[in-house]
Amino acid sequence: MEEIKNRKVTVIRLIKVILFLTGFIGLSFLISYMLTPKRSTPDSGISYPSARGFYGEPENTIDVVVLGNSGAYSGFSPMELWHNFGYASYVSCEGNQNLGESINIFEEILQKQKPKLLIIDVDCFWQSKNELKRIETNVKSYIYRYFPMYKYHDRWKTVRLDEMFAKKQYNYRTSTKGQYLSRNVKVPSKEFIMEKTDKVEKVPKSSVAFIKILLNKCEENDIEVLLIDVPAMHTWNYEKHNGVEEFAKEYGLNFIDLSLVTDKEYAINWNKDSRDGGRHLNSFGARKCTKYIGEFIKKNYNLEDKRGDEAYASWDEDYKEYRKFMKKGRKKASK
Amino acid sequence: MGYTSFAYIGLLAVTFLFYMMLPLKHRWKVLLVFSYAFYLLNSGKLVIFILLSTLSIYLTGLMLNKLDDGFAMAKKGIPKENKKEFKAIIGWQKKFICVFAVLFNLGLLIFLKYFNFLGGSINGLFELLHINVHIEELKLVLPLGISFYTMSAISYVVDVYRGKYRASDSLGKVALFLAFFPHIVEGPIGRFDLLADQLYEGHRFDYNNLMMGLQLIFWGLFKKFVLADRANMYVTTVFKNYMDYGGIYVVIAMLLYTLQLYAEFSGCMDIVMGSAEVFGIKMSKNFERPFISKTVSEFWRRWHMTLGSWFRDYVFYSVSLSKTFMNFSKKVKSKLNPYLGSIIPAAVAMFAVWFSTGIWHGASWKYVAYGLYYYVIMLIGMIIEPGVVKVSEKIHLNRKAVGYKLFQMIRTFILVNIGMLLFRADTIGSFAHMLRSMFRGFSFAPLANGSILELGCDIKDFIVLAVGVLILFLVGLYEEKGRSVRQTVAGWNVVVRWVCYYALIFAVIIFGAYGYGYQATGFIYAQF
Repeated sequence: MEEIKNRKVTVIRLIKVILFLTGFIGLSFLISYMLTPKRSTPDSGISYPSARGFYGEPENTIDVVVLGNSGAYSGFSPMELWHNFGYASYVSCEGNQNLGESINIFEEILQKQKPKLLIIDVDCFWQSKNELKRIETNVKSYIYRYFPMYKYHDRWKTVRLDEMFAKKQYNYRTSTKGQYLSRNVKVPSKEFIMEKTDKVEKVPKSSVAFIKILLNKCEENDIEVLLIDVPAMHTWNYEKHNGVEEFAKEYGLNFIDLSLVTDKEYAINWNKDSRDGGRHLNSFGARKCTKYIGEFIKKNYNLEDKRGDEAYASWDEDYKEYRKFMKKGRKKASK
Repeated sequence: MGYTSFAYIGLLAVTFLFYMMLPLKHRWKVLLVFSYAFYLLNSGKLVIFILLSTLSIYLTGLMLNKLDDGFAMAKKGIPKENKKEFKAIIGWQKKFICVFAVLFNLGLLIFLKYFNFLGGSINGLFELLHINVHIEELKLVLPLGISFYTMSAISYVVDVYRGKYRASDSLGKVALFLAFFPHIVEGPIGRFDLLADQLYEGHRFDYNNLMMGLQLIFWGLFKKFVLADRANMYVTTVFKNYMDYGGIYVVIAMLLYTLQLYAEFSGCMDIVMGSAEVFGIKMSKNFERPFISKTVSEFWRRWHMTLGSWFRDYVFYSVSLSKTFMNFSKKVKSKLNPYLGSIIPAAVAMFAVWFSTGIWHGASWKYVAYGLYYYVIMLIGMIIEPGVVKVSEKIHLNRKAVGYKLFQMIRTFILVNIGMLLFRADTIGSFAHMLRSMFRGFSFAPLANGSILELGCDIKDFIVLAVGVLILFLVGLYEEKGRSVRQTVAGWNVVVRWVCYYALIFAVIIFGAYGYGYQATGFIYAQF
């Protein structure tokens, strides 16, 4: 009798827990929807609106997508790639973007665009200071994807009642195509030397797991993958270079380490090409990197040159704007 | 891995699952393994220090047991006249072993935490005396929770020495007592007799323990994320640029820092106690509504209670019950009048307590000043108390009246806040500057013209803080009457109860100051 009673109590409790959790998940979806920005403009509260400018491009017009952190949005120029090679690219990078976030934004891109080449800046493989933190931030990013309330919780301060239940309308477009434009020059306080070594710093295991998810998505959608490293003095070294090279070999991927480029036309001059003392490139450094990457794409991938295509007329207009900006030249260097 | 991280929640969940899967008698091993996993993940190789402490107190305990057993066996066969002498010899041996173990553990703490501070102070002194000697600074890293587990380790050795309980012959039990992962970072400072058996015996799954524990964890998260981290935004701005602010800006910064520290530390304790409760383990309380205290001594009985009781039991009693001190006390009482005869010995013993309390918080003169600040207040209180009683009687002041009690609470609150200002200021100099600047050109204008809202907290942040404080106040008021909010809510019907739970959980998620745009802040007491 006692046993039956106990079993009944256990079943009731189990049902209660399931109901409570169901309620929690339901409310989480509701609150997430209410707090998520309904527009993708910079004043909408959306995170990194420029990384999400692909929503504003006509469907299936972007052929190359770049993922990574601030190093890549500073060091890659879609306008240079367009002007010199005719490839339509978009930089969907965010500050401190981890691979979980890369996957999230890549999923968003695939809903609107059909890229043929994905470029990943490998710096984000080492995002976070240790493996545990890396796993945590990547898992968090996954949770944010389904429950954006964790990401946008602070919007309770600004969200209007009518906006809470409005339909999403993401169509913000930016002429920079996600690049962070800067003419600033700040000379690094020390010299950057990539000292050659045989030592290998392997790509962190947790990152490998997340990269595999990205690679699978690319395979499913027939997208080729290119790994690059945009030069950054504070985070990059030869051990990591060796680690990525090993990884690229294992997975049959191409890898360009732009820190090792010595050709005068493309090599980074740290006295001129960094906007903040070696952490990030300025737009002149980005121009060099992009030209090098463009040449590599031209030789190794079969992408269509879209220059002259009427559907891309706006890209020429965007380039004019970019050109105007670049023509002003570098600002006076600061130390 | 902070107590508010996803990683910690994951670790807690995995530990709980393994704990409940193993047979009862092996469950303590799960706690031990995961406690050391937690330690290794946080402190890596520095685990060696907690291992050394564990081993030292374990062996000391065994030796003390052996001496006690030897004495018990031998005393039967010893003639009465030799018994006293034999007891004294054993007593000396026990004392020697105990002192050695205490000094060993204290030595590790002093070397790692205070070497550079002491070196710097001695260097300063040498410079003043024009002595050309310089102690080099060492690059030392503090092992996680060393200030807390050293206290627990010392309490274990001293308690066994004093005969409060027998030392454990299980190394695992002693190791778990020191390293138990919920209390290793910020306490509460555990006592072996209250905690060890609970940790060691296997607890069956208990639905109520699980639910109550989770509730307490969310309550702690509410205090940390919604109140402490939000208050921190204003506090950081003012304390970082203290030269630029005065008057009401500093007053608000001081009040918000008091709120921050209380919400954060007591919130952490809720997370810690909630974590233990899911396993069926009850830990000692560390807070009991400190801001309704009528004196600063009462405040310290309600604030960081396990630290206060530790200093009472192992510093105050050790000093005041020592032979030297008793003789001193007798001498003072016989040579001076009864008033001074009672005050002077108490003042000496209290000095030891408050000096130690101050320096325990950190290796700097600021923390010494922090401890002595409370010492001076308590001393003044003791000195003037007879006078205050006389004057009150003369003017017929009812010291038990509500009005008087309220006055005492407000007075204590102000004194505690000034203490908090000293605690948070970078140096004694910056504290003095900020204290003075409060009264210089004080005006309510920044409240009226809204400039107060430009220092990190806007009006909506202040509203959240105000509502949060109101909730804390109401909960405190309810619990002060001996009732438990958690038990009361648990008794409500399911709809109302769940609305409360959802409100708490979503308040943490929505109004918490975390993520993009907020600076991640660790726990202040975790640095000690």
